[in-house]
Amino acid sequence: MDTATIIAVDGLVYASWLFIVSAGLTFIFGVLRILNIAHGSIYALGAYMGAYLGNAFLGGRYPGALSYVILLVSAPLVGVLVGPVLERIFLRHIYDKDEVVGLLTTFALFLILEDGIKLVWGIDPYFIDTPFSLLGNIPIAGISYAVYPFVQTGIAIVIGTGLWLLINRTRFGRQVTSVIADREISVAMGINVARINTVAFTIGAFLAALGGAFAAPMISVEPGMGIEVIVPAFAVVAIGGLGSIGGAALGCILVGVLRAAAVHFFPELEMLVIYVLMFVVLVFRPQGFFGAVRLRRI
Amino acid sequence: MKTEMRWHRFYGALALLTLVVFAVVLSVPRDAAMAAAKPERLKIAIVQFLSGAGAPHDASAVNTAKLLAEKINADGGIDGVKLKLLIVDEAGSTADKVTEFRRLVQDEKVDAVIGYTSSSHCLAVAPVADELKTLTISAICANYRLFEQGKYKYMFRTSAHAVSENVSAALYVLQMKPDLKTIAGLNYDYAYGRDSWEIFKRTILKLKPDVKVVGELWVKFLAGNYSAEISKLLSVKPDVIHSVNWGAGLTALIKQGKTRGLFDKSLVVFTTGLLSQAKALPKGVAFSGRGYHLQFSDPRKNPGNRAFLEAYKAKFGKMPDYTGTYMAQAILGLKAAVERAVRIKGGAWPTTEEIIAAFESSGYDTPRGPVFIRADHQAITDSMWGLTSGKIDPVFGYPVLEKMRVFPAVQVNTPLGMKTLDWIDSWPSRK
Repeated sequence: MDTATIIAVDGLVYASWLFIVSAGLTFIFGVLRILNIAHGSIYALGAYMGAYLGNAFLGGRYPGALSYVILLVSAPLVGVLVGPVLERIFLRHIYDKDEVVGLLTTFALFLILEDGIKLVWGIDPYFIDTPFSLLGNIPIAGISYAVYPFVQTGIAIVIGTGLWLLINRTRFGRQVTSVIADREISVAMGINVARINTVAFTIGAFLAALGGAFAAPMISVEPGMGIEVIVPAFAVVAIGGLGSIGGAALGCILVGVLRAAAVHFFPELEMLVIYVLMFVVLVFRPQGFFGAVRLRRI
Repeated sequence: MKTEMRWHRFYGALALLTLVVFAVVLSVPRDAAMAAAKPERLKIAIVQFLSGAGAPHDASAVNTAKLLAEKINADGGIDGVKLKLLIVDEAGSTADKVTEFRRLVQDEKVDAVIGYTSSSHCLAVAPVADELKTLTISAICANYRLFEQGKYKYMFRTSAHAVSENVSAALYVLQMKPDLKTIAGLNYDYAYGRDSWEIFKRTILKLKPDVKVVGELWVKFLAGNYSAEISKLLSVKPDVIHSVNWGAGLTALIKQGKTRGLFDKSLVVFTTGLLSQAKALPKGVAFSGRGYHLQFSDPRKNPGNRAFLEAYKAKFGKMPDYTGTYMAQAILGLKAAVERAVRIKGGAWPTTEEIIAAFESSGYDTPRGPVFIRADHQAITDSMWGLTSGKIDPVFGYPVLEKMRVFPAVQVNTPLGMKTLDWIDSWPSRK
């Protein structure tokens, strides 16, 4: 049994789960300059939608492959339903305001969505078990691992690559880069910034919902589940640099591995590790690893 | 100038007069919450989680409150006085709950308050209950410090708490695995988790000093991601794993642990859990569910338990979780105390203080069995443990436990007036 391998694998598993959500969070901030606290409740929405569709239409029993399709479908469904609505109705009014207003608005949206979830789905827990139990377990470094979390790793890699390609190899990506760099100039150059904002937020919402949908098979989908992901996601985004996908990936891996190492050697510190890391990074590099130093415009 | 000064003096006098009036009004002692004249209705606030993570957990408690109130009213009420329930959501910050408690007493004029699952809430509300002289019964709160750290006149707890649960857990484990060598803990990092592990660990180490603690893992309250923790436990392979995790976190732990074989390698001990979670467990897991009331006391032999389970199933379509039984202990305790106080008073309606006096050092019957309320207002009951069997009861449909052991109350409860950790430390060490 190789403790180093175990820690690396545990770190990877945690990082995969967190990256799908953090990528969306940092992307939204990069484009819209808003810290989206509602990200946590969109994550929960994705989980609820996945569990609900799995049970409502198929009574909880379905061939294995179909269960993954259900999860994959839930995410864009939520993203498309929630993203444009939230952005157009609430967020578009606060772009020019102070960042605190953005925080407060998205926090309010978080609370509203949490209660909305309860109104629609009640307080009982939901389960979608098949995707997780179907894949069984696999021995690695002398102990048994569930195979399913590596599906999340696969998705994280696809998401990371996809976002990179989107930003660097598409026209839309070039426009997004322009908006990130300077919104006013982008408007002056004829870029439809309003549309970019809506699409960017929808992509972020889709990613949050995707994270939630694929987390659902491992847990009990219950009220209040959004909170568990939002705090580490924020920490990771701060560590990696607001707006940087690569930074989020690096942050997730660092946090995952440090957490796993703490569990194995200093369990008392496990929960502290993520915040100590964030503190250290912010003290020495306040913009995060890959964040851009922002000039204050007068 | 002179006119202005006259106006100043006038307003000053008016302010002073107002202050004096307020002082007089406020200094008049308020009546105890329950008047000595027979009330039309007994208004009881039920404060449990209706939203958030605690909602599925407390649902049985809320249901039981409604069921029992209906039944008591159908039978004519308590000494002819019918119950009126006011169901309130426990979700919210501790400060909010204290404010809400005041509102329930002063604005809604409730006669008693039953509830508070969260330890921080029941601890915060206890002194306020004394201040507002309102009978308050904690039905589910498990923090053992409630009556160890403070003496409260108006606060009662009608159910067991972390001490008896974890002492009996240790005793059960030693019976099931007498050659036990290593133990580990995986618990939520909050008072209940920390206290429970401490009590369990101390009991084991006192009774079998050669046992080694090979892991003390702490996770965030209600955490759902156990990958690293399960890896650690699979690496060290402890004989026994102790956990008081509940709610969504427990469900996640069961799911993830089952797939990875955590329950095959170690005897896992869960002090609490809902029926749905007991059903999800594989065979051979030590389970108490805070005193598995569906088998203890046996509904086939205890007509009171049978009647309760059947009535609950008829009304709600399923078996109650332990929180339902705990709420029954609270409501039936209140009923017994009021009836006893009425008898003592020769038929007249008692004051709150008289009800409290009747409640202290009294016993009453509940679906689960007898409950005794000690002089310090803490309930004393037996504790039970069993192993999951994978079987379902053919009559009632609940998951069946086997190798059940019942631990008498005197063996697992801190004696009156002692501190728990001192009590455990005072036991003679076994070699």
